[in-house]
Amino acid sequence: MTSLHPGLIIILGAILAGILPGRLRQVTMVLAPALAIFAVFNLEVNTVWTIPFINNLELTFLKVDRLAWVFSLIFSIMALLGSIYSLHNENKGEATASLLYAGSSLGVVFAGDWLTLIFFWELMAVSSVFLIWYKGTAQSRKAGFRYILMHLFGGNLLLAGIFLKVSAGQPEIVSLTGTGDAAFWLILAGVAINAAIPPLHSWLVDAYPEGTVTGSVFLSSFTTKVAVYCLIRIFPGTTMLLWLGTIMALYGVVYAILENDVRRLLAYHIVSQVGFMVAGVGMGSELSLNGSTAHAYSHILYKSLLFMGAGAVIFATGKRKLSELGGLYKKMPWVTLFFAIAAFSISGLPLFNGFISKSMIISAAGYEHLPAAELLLYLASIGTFLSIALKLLYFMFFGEDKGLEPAKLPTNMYIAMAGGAFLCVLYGVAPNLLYNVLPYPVKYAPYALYHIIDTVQLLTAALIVFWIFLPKMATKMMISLDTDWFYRKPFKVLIHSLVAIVCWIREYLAVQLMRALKSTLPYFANPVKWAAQTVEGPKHEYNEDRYRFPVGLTVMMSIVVFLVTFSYILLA
Amino acid sequence: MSTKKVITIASLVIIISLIVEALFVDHHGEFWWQELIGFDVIYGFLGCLVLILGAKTFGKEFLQRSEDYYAGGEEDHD
Repeated sequence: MTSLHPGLIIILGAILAGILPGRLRQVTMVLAPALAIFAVFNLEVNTVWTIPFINNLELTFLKVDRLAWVFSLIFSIMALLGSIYSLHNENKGEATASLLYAGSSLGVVFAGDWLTLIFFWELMAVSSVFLIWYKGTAQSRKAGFRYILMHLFGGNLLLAGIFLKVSAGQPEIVSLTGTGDAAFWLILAGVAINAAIPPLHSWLVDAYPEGTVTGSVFLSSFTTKVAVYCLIRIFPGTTMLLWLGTIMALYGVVYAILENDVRRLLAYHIVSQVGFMVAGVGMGSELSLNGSTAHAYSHILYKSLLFMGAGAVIFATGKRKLSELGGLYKKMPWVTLFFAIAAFSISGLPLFNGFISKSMIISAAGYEHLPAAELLLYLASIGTFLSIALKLLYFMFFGEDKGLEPAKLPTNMYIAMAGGAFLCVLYGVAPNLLYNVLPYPVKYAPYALYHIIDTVQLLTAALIVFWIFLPKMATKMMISLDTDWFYRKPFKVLIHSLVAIVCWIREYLAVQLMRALKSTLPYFANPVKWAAQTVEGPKHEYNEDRYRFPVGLTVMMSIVVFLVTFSYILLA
Repeated sequence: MSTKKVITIASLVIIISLIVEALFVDHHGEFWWQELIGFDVIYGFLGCLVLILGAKTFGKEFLQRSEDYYAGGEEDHD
């Protein structure tokens, strides 16, 4: 072993961050991810580490190939940026939860067998829910419970599939494309919940806006992208994913146009962007799988930057609704700049990192002769530009000045945002930095002239429409129903009525049982009662034993136990 | 910026891009519409229009509710 497992380094950091005081905790929070990045660079492709486990199974807790390597790099970088962003946070528990979450994501990435995968998978779910709960409001507590229930459900589906795999003697993670047995569907459903594929996506848009300012930055980066990684690894070329992904990409943008809560809008764009990646997995060509990987890489950078910028605004103003924000660019110029860079990146403007990765997936749809998918993904890119670069940027930082007085931001927030913005631009202008580490060799030139011209035309035309509709684009103080409605409304009524029915049965039975006891017990207390009372007995003195319930109960229980034992001996 | 100014600048950008496309771009698309000059302008315009109107209509008719729809006056109480 020439290196260490990067995930375990961060998990160790998580433990230390929970114990160490003040300054030392901050040092740990930066040092652990930094060391993890270093460890990733020290890992060679094709490294495999195993440890023995029960029943002659071996746990492959680290298996590096090119796909795992590039994902582990971006997750480590993200853990560093996210930690820097949350350095001012006094909450030790949150530091532990976020690092544990990042470390277990790396654990999933490096897992070579199903059991290691499910272990880290569940650890991710359990650690991440605290990033929602630490917000401390009743709303976040409830959203957190819905979040964890959904993930435990998904985890159980995955576990059931893994049981089938492992008990069939296939403990290694392999591609399941084209198998179509029960294990295939169970594992796919488990991963699809984490990838937020509609209609299983509502946990994401429900919970992410309720997280802490710093926690949501972590949340936006890991769970869905780990799921994308698993899809690339386990289900490449599963055609169903192409269509699910395309629907996802559009689903997210439609909701984003309506959305008023800043971070919920961003969460809908996670759904949309992950849709591109899922569609890429569904196409299954080398270009599209490279595209999904590259897009996950870019997405983590710009989406976390968007969440950092939105978080900074929420931190400074205390407002989270677009209708309450506006005109902040004068008072928060740097945040405006960083947010704009992220917004241009997600929209796929040339020179920003979204352009070099999203275009790979759309081009792959062209090369695979999928006209509908190509046009619909193209439409989704228009929607992304519309609701993030135009709507969000305009109504948050420009537009009507609401006279907000933002509080001062901690320096570490600026450093993290600057780092994210730098990387978004760096990969945008030097795409080969990313292309060289993708799983398959890349022969793709994003900066072909026709490509740039097409993008400029598409987005400028969208800009004109946005400006014409500007008065209509302002959002109302409304929420939009999504599939979480099913478990928040009808399911709630169903549960309440089921509970009511069960309670009624229990109470009814209790009353009947008491009645039965009351009428039979006197006979056990006083067997004479069995005899027919022909004549009215003599009026005797009061005798407490006559009326003593416990005596009757003891006698009855002895008889019942005797009868049960006796009949068991007889019958057995 | 006024609406007029934004639209003027945007239109200029589009016109320049169309000229560049017509003169210098060697089209080699997979589908017939990728050969058309200015297809992206039309698609961007109509696509954006469809998205805005579609989402707004769909939202108004089916999706949007008041903010305390789920709370029912109890969500924020402990």
